[in-house]
This record gives sequence, C-alpha cells and structure tokens, in this order.
Amino acid sequence: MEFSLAVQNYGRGTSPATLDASGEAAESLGWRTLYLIDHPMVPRSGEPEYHETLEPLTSLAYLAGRFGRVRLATGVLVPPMRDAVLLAKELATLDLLSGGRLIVGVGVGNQLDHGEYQNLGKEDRFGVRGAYLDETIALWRRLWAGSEAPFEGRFHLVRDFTFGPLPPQGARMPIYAGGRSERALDRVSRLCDGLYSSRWGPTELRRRWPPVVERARANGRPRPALATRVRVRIGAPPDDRYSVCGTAREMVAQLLEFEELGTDEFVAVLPATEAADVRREAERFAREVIAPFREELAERRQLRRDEYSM
Amino acid sequence: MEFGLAIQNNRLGASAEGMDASAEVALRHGWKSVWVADHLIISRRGGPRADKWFAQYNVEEHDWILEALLSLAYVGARHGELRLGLGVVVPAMRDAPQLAKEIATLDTLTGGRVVCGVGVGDEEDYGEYENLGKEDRFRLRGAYLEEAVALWRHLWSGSSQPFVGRFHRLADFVFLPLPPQGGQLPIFSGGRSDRALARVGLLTDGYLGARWGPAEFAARWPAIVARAAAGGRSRPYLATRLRVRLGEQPDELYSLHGPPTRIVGELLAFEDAGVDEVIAVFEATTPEAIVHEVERFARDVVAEYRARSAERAAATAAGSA
Repeated sequence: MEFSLAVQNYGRGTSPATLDASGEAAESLGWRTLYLIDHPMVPRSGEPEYHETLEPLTSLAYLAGRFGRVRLATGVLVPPMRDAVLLAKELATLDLLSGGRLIVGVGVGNQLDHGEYQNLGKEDRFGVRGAYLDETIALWRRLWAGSEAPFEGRFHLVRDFTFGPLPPQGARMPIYAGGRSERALDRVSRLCDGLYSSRWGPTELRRRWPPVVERARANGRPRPALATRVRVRIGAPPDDRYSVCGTAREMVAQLLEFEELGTDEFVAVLPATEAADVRREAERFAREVIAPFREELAERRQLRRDEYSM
Repeated sequence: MEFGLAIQNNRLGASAEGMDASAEVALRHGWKSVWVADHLIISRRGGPRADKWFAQYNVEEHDWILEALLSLAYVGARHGELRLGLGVVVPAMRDAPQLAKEIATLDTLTGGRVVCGVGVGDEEDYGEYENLGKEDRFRLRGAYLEEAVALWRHLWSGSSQPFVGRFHRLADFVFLPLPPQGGQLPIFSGGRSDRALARVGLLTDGYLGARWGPAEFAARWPAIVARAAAGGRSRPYLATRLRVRLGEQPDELYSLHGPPTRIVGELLAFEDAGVDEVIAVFEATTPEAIVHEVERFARDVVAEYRARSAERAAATAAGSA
C-alpha cells in the first residue's frame, strides 16, 4: 500500500503556497500521488469547506511545472458539469505537461451538487449525469488513442476533427471512478481502471470492494486499482464520519486493515490548509503512523515467510 | 514599446520544453510577456466556408496544440515576472462560469500576472464549435462574449449579487478566492471585425491585434482612443501579434520581414501608430530553434529599435525644452 495526499485546493486560505507545500511534502516523503477536488462554484448553502477552491486542472498544471516526480490526479473531476470534448483536450495537455503522470478521477456529484450544476449553466445535464459520464469515458479513450473515426453518441457528435498532441499515456490513461452508488461501482468494473473511494472505512470496503473486483473479472478486465480517500486525525476520538483516528497504535491497526482489504493507495486527508500546517501534519503522519505501520507490515510478512519455511 | 513572445503552444512539435525555453529566453531579454493561442479541436476541413487559406494555415498552425490556460499555468509556475497572455480565448466555445473560475485560479497561482485576450472566432471556426457541441452558440457568439466579460467582472470583483443575463443566471453562489487583480484583471478584445473593435475601450481594456501593419493601426486606432475618452474611460492598451521572418521575402500575410534596418523602421512606425506592445511570433517550435530566433531578433532588431526610439524621445524632449 502506497501513501498519497488529498491536496487542500479547498478550504479557507487555500493558496499557491498550499499547493507548493503539498508537492514538497509528497516528494520528500516518497508519497505517490496528489489528488485535487473539483468544486468550481457551490451555492452559499453548500458545504462551507468548498466555498473557497482553486480550480483543479489549472492547479495540476502549476504542480506539473513545479514538481517532477509525484503523480497528479483529480479526485474527482465532474465531467457533466463541464464538457467532455474540452476536457479531453485539457487532460491530454496535462498528461503531456507532466510527462505522463496524470490519473483522472471522475464522478457525477449527488443531489447536494444540483445548485453547482445550475451555477455552471449545466442544470440540463443533472438528470443524465451518469449517462454523460459513461459516454465521456468512451469519447476520451477514442480521442486519446489517436483515432480519427467519427464519434457518435447520445451527447456528442464529433465527425471532422484533428486531435493532437496525444497524451503520453494514450488511451491507457488511468481513469478512476468515485462515488458510493451501485452505479458508480458498476462503472468501475465496466469502464475504469480503479475506484477512488471516499468516506469508507474497512467495514464498507470489506462489503463493497470484492464484488467490484469480481465483476471486473467477469467483464474480462484487469483488477481495478483501489485508492481510498480517508481523513486522518491523529490522537482524536471518532466523529460522525469515518476517519483513521485514535492513538498511533490504533491508527496502525486501521491501516493494516486497509492493506489487507486490497487498498493500493491510501489517500490521506490531513487537517491542514495553510502551507506550514500541511508540512507539519504530513511529516507527523509519516513519522508517527506510516513508519510503524511499515515496520509492523514487514514483521508480519517475515513471520509468514518463517511459517512457510518451517 | 514593450516586447512579448508568442510561445508556441501550437504547431507540430509544440512541447513543454519548447514553452519553457521560450519563457526563459523572453525573460532573459527583458521582454514583458508570453502569449498562447487557443484552439481545442479544429475541424480538418473547416466547414462549408473554409477556403484554401484555411487548409494551408489553420490546419498547419492549430491541429497540434496544447490547451492555452494550462500551458500558461505551467509556464507561470516556472517563470516569475512575465505577464501571461491568453491570445485569445474563445468563451463561446467553452462556458463562461467555468472559465471565470479557471482564469481566477490562474491569476491566483501566478500572483496576478494574467492578461486575458478574448475573441469569437471566424466562419472557418464553425466546425470547431460543432466538435465542442457548441454549434448553437455560433450565431450568438458575439453576444455571448459580451455577457461573459460582464459576468467575469461581476464574479472577480467579489460581488455576491445575483447575475441575470441572456445566457447565464446565477442566483446563489460563492466565488472564492478572488483573483489578485480582481475586477481589474485586464481583458483585451481580439479580432478584426468592426464589432471586435467596437468592444475596445467600452467593454475591454485593450486590443489584441494581428495581421495588420502600421498603416492599418494608424488609420483605425485614433477613433478607438477617442471613443474611449468620450466614454470617460482610460486610454485602451494596444498590443499586436507580428510574425517575424528576419531576412525573408514578404508573403501573403503581413510580417516583419527583410533586413534588420527595414524591420526597425517598421517597429518605429508601429510605435507612431500607438502600439504599446509587439508580440513576436516565430515559426520555430524546437527549444533550440526558438532560443536561436529570439536571440537573433533581440540582438539584430530590438536593441537597435530601442536605441532609435530612445534617441527620438530625447530629441522630442530637447525640442520641447
């Protein structure tokens, strides 16, 4: 299991310094990916933490210009709030600017996001957002493969076009789907390369992840990757939503569960928006929780090897 | 006059390395800005009204292109000081609220260095509108652009009042963080139609020209400046893209061609016509070729132009003393 960072391109005080601190922390700690959220214009009644946001694609291009190793991801982007063809171009550009380091997390939002669809002039898409996303993925793969065959779908008719340069990762660009609905999970097994889960702890993962893997296999597709976005609250008691919390020892035990359930990437949401807090919290999590987790994991593996060899 | 550089985010071979080298050499020579072009998915045939020129020029120039805003974010992240110009973005091919957010973020990430050129595209661009699913906007593209500018200023200034227009209705929204330049973020109008020119000084802060020589600017610019003044607005800024073909013969479109002395004379004529900023467009795309061409132009032309321009200014000052 690798570790990644949910970048706070949202929340009061988010700034280029937040992005810089996130990139520095991820690169110095050897974390895999930076994930950015997409909430361009929520209503005033929307979640306060999304009132102040930096647009994710622009932010990822900035990060591509600053950091050379860490992977860059949306977690998640909402295509039906935008336009799929324009996004195909933007994502191809991002993949090129980053030398093939892009992961595209996609979702559709839920009932709470209707006001944001309205603000973006996309209220007509809200009722068909799932179908729009499915078609978007097919369109992207077609364009990124370099095909110049016409694309005719329910929402798109692209007949006479040129599309270059192609993204370095081509049609194999990793697409992860987010969301908790059955439809979202079904999308992973049919169309995507991974699941970007959020708010799920081991209990939900144990129940809901294995069927996704099984369905992907039945669909003749490789095992999807599992990236789990989880709040990290060192030393804090549990609250109303799932988080990895408690003492360092308790947190290590929780990480071991994620590992056993097949999590490939643990995406940490840290309680930090200001640059100095990002650095401090990331280092603290690495030192107090990830390091003992890795030791414990290595010990367990050694133990298993010893058992086999006896 | 100031100098800017069209960094090649378009033409076959455009790359991150090429844009990086462009920004680096522009900064090293004390130029003011870098500019990107905006096309997304052009039609290969150009639609019913495309002519021979479309096939030769537009396809060659724009069938390979990196997205404009992301290119500027990348370059802005790596090179300080330079102004970052969109030349031009086409709001009607996208969505104005989303663009408002993207441009605001770009301005925030670059410490307030964005200059936003806007346009609507020509008849040949209809196929691109179609490819983007925006064919219904094509006939309304001018009106859409004008509303987009009004919406942007509304959002960027921090107003939380509802915005109600023909194309947009935003009643309940939060738009933060505001761009550092706020509602003053410079917006330049591009295009050669009368309507594009009419926007300058009334709706926009400047004009981004292309393909015109000094004579056209000398003929057209004074009326625009006068109109802005009559409207109680400050004098609009005038920037123009100019193809640089040092040592070459003229071709069918205006360019700075021929020997350095001739080009210096042309630059002085642009200055006389009221041009504030020349955006040099070179054909090179590889990093080495870009650096070579910019350095040659800076050494053989810009240095001489700056010396002559300073002499004239000193002579004028002495004459009036």
